[in-house]
This record gives sequence, structure tokens and C-alpha cells, in this order.
Amino acid sequence: MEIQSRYNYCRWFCRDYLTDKPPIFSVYVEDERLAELKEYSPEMRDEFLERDGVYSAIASKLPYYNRVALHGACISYKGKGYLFTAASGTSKSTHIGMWKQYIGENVGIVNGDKPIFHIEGRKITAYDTPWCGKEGWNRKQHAEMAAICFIRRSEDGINRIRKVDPEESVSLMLRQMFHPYEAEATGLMLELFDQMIETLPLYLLECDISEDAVHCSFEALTGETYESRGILTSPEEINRLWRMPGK
Amino acid sequence: MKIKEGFVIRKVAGKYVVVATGQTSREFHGMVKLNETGKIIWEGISDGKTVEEIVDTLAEKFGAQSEDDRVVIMDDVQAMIQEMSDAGFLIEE
Repeated sequence: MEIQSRYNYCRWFCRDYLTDKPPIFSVYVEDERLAELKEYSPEMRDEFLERDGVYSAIASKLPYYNRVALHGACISYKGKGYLFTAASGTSKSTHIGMWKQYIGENVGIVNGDKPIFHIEGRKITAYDTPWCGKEGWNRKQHAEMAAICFIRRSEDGINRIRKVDPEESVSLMLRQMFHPYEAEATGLMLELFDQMIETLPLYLLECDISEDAVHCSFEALTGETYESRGILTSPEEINRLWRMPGK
Repeated sequence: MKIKEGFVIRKVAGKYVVVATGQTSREFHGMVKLNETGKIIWEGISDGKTVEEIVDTLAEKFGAQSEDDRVVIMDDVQAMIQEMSDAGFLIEE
């Protein structure tokens, strides 16, 4: 895709993703749209507003290409993708960081905040984007999806996980999907969303921030026992392994 | 009676989901979930049908022939129209 931006920051922000291939579509954030974003976040610099506007413009086009954007943290385990999604501030990043820490070497990052999903029949693939949250976790990886897990804070401090059916997942997940501005693109997004939740196994994890929470989600999502983990990763290593070199 | 512009309805996980788009999405955030009957009423209004015509569609769908059945259906249709009106989905003409 082509991004026409007024600030150099956008090019710098996307620097690891530049390509010589011809673009399939082009996006530009109109002045009006920038002003609108400014209204929502008056304290934010224009460069950052444009960056966010570019994301919305791209995400709005994706449904025409059988792709959707959503808010969630996506990792891979032994090459298979696992998405953790929840409302902001529900420790998705903390949870995937702890997967890396306690499960170790077989856990890779796809994207920490805004991955893109390509839906081709029953094959759903998660892709990285430059928009990856404040941790900066993205390594240009992709993974064929194995499961989606919704996270909710445990009320009673007990970690538990259960399967949810597609109907229940609608209330849990639809608001984390990116909603395009246009009606036609939104219709397509809903159709792709339906395919996603009808295809992938869905789970609801109620958890706190602990190794036990990882134990709980790991066994349910992968079907492996917690004892089968690989070489663990120290918390200090995570940023080095999951951020782009030089970040 | 018309539905405001910008609502999109699709079947998701076996139920019908309605979300707002464009300018309308500034007013309505969440979503509305409808069953088959709700969807027929929503689409009936959106297609410009009268209440009577929507009741006919539903009566035919459910094989309702007696006057009593029609009264029950009419109550359902009017209740839903009232809810949609209260929620601000409708434009009175």
C-alpha cells in the first residue's frame, strides 16, 4: 500500500515495512479528518494524529481485501497464532509478556496491539503492523491462527478458562474489531468477523497477573502440558527479542 | 417512519447484528442484536413497509392465520418499533 503523509514521522514510523512492490491501494489523511482527530486528542502532536489517522484509513480499506484489523495482542507458539483480546487496560501485553517469560523459546511475537488478519476460507493468518502499542513489540512475523482468547480480570483471584461459543464471543469481541467509517466496508468486516469466530476456537480467560494465569491459558489453548515448556526467557530479554533491532 | 441512515445489518454467529457507520456512528456506539423476527421488522421498516405489511410478512412466516395470532404479532411489532424509537434509531416523517 502507499501512504501519502504530510509529516516525515509517518515514514520513519513505518521504516521497517518499506517495500518496492507496487501499491494495491493508497491512503491519505485529509485535513478535515486530522482536525477531527485533534478534537478528540487536543494534547497530541499532529505527527502522531496523522499516524493514527493513517492506521484508520488502512484499516477501513482492509475488508475489501478479505482482511480485518483489530485491537489485541497476538503471539505465536510453535508457529501457530494465538490472539489475546480485551478492553484497553486489561493486561493483554502483560499476559503475552509472561507467556514469553514462562513458556520461553517457542513463543514469538506477531504484534502487541494492532495485528491484521487475512481470512481465506478456513485459513486465517495474523500479520504484524507498525502499530504495536507502547511496548513496541513487533518483528514482522506472521502466523496461521490457532485460537482467540478473551481476557477479563478475575473477580475472585482464581484463574480459570473456558470455551465460548461464537454467539457469546460477539459481545466480547465486536467492539475490539476496527469499524470502518463506510457502510459497505463495515458490512464486509462483519462478514469476515463472522467467519473468524465460526472458524477459530474461542476462549474466555479470567485471570490475574501471575504465572498461574499463564499455566491456565497455555494448557487450554495449546493442548500441551505446562511441563512441556522450553527454555525460559528472562523478563529483561523480552524487549530485546520482541522489538525491532535498533528500537 | 424511516431508519436513520448508516446502520448496517449482518448475520453474525447465527444472530443479526446491527452497527452504526458514518456520521451515525458518532451517536451510536455499541451494537444491537436481533433474532429472526427482529430482523424482519428492522428490514421491513428499512424497506419502507407499513406496520400492516410487516405483520403480514411475519404472519406468513409463522403460519399465523387467526385474528388472535395477528394481534400478538402486531403487539410485538409495535413494541419493537417503540424500542427503536426510544433508542433514537427512527426518523418520524
